[in-house]
Formats: sequence, C-alpha cells, structure tokens
Amino acid sequence: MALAELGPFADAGLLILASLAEGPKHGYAMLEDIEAIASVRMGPGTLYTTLARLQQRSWIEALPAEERRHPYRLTGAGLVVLRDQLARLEGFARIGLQRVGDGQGRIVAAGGATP
Amino acid sequence: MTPAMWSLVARRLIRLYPRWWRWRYTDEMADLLLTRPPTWRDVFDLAVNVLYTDLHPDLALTGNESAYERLVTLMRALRSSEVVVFCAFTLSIIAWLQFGGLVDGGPYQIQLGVTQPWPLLALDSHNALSMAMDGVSAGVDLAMLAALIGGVPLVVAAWRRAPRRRWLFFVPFGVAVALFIPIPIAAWIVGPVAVFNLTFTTPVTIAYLCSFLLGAGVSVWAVVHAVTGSMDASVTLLRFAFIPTVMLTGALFIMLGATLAWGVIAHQQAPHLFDQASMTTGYATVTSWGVDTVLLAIAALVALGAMLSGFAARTAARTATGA
Repeated sequence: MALAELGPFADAGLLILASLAEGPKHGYAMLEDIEAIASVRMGPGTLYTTLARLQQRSWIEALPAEERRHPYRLTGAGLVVLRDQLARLEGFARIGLQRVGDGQGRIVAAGGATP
Repeated sequence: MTPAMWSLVARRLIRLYPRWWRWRYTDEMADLLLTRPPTWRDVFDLAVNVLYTDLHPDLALTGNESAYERLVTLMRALRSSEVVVFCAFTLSIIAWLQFGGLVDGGPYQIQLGVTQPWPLLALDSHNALSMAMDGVSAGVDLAMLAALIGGVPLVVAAWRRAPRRRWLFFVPFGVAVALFIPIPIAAWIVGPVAVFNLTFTTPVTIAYLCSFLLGAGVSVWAVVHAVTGSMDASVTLLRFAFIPTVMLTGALFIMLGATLAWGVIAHQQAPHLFDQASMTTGYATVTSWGVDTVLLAIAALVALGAMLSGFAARTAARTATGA
C-alpha cells in the first residue's frame, strides 16, 4: 500500500489524508484546511475524484450525512499509508536540506556566488 | 464571465458525471459550490475531472464489493463502451451516406451540365482526390468489418439470453420498410427522375430527411436497449468484442482523415464544383462536406472516449480477477 497507487492523484491524496488526520471533515472544510496548511487551492473536481480513489482503497470512509454534507474520516489503513508517506518525505527533506547545506559550502569553496 | 455564470457552468458540468458519481456526490458538490463559488480554474478542474471520471469506470468501485460484483460492474462498463462505439459507427454511416451522395456525379451532370463529375475525378489513378476517396472507402470497409466481428456476437448473445426483448431486433427492419415505402409511391406519382433529383430543400424532402434520422435513432435505441437490457454477456465475449471496438475506432479516424483530405484536395483541384450545389442537400458542396466532417469528427471522438473507457474497464477487470 502506497500513495503512488493513486497515480496523478497521489499529491492530492496526501493533502487530503493529512487534512483528515486532524479529524473528520466535509469537502469544504478539507479545501479550507489544505489551503491553510499547504497553500494549495485544490479544485472541486480533483477533491471528489481523489476522495473516490481513497474510499476505494478504504483509506478513508464516509460518515453519515449532515444535511447535504458527508464528513469523511481517516481509517486505520489510511493512517498507516499517511505515516509511511510522511516518513519518506521527512527522510527526503532531511537529505535534501543536508545536500543544500553541503552544496553551499562547495559553491563558496569553488569561488562561486551563493544564491 | 461573472461568478454566477461560472457557478452555472459548474452545475451543468456536474450533470456530465456518470450516474454512480452523481448518486454519490452531487449533493455534496452542489453544497460545496454554494459555499465556495467557483472560479474559472475550478470550472476547468471540474471539466478535466468529469472527463477523467467518464474515462475510468473502475472509479465506481467502492472497495466493499466481492470479486464477482467487481467483475460484473467492470464488464457492464466494458459492454456500455462497446455499445457506444457501435452507436458512433451508426452516426458515421449517416455521414457516409451523405458523402456518397455528395460525390455522386449524375446530379452534377444534370444540374450543372459538367462533363467531369466527382467520380471521374476520383477514379483517375494518379489523382490525389482518388487516393482520398480510397481512404474513405478503406475506412468504411474496415468499420463495417469491425462492426460485424464485434457486433454480431453481442447481438447473438443478447438474442439468446433475453427472449422477451427479441422483438426489438426487428425494429430496424420495420423502420427500413417504413422509410422505403414512400419512395416507390412518390416515383409512381411524380416520376422516377423527379424523385431522384430532389434535394433536401423542400418541406417534403426535409420531412423525409427528418423521418430518416428519427428512424435511425429509433433503430439504434431498439438494438442498444435489447443488448444492454439482456442478461450479462460472457466475460470472454465482452473481452473479445473490445478488439473490433479498437478497429472500429481506428476506422472512424481513417474515414475522418480521408474526408478532410478529400475536401482540401477537391477545393484545390475543382473549386468550380466544390462551391456548387450538391446532390443530397441542395447546398454548396463545401457546406455538405463540412457537415459530414463535423459528424465524422463527433463519431470518432465519441468512439475514442468510449474505447479508452472500455480499455480502463478491461484492465481493471484483469487486475481485479488476476486473469
């Protein structure tokens, strides 16, 4: 199980799972939260296509409707996928930042200008 | 455009989602669009995702189905896509009939007094127009072959599995007879030459054209209703029928390309004929050719979409069953 299974919706899937990690939310609340935490304005079409893909894999589930809105919540399987993906990203970010730091040193040592 | 207009476009786009999607998400989406009025980017995003959802019938699966239910859902999606491709073929046949009338030389000789009607131009072996005509013919032959290979087994399966709907297969024959009967009667009343030189510019001929199109629609509806209303055809048969579906889609694009090429070449080689009235419509040939091309383009694009959807269903079924 990996977010890459979602193909072009992997990034949107990660954002939705991260948003639902805070607690159940309906569509509008998810979009607002995603814009706040990641500065990404997700379109309504992408949101519902990704929700369908996530539900299909049982990574999220719909709760009973509140008026016309269905809140969604993260499942245990979804939490595992999210944790795994965030851990990968953390490792990637750590190595990337380390290389950026080393790179700066090398650029300075070679006489180049630092950005 | 104002935000209210984008909202209207977005609400219209929602209707283009497949039925399962509308059943599951329409209320939520409508509520979301009310709470957060869409921008042009949201509308574009919606349009892209409508297309994606229509082309991926496997999205309809919720993950809670048994393996058998998954297979049934995907096979129904595959059957629908195959039926849509065959419907697109019917539309291309209407365009092709019109094109056949367009390039028929007889009326040109009568109406325009020309000595070089289209067929003579087309039959010149070193003529580019001839090659374009050959392309159209090749596309038609391939399409008919594919429709026979893929369509006949589906029709036979539906005939066997749904005896109560067998009468629907006789509808096209009844329609054909009903449409043919007025021709000898009109020939008897006004004479055969007058009948065959009629163009679609008089109320009578326009009414006949409308009844022809209505008859074609009713015939397609009857056969589609019989095939989709029958019990599910076998998985093997549906998988097999997908191959002619691909052939048929390719043939429609060959027809489209060749018809486009014919128009461009005809315009260069014989502008005096290309701008004159055509046999079937009474309007300029360029207009009739334009209508044909648009009809073929619609048929080809609808077939392509349905074929891609069928491919996604077929692939997902293979994954779901491990076959």
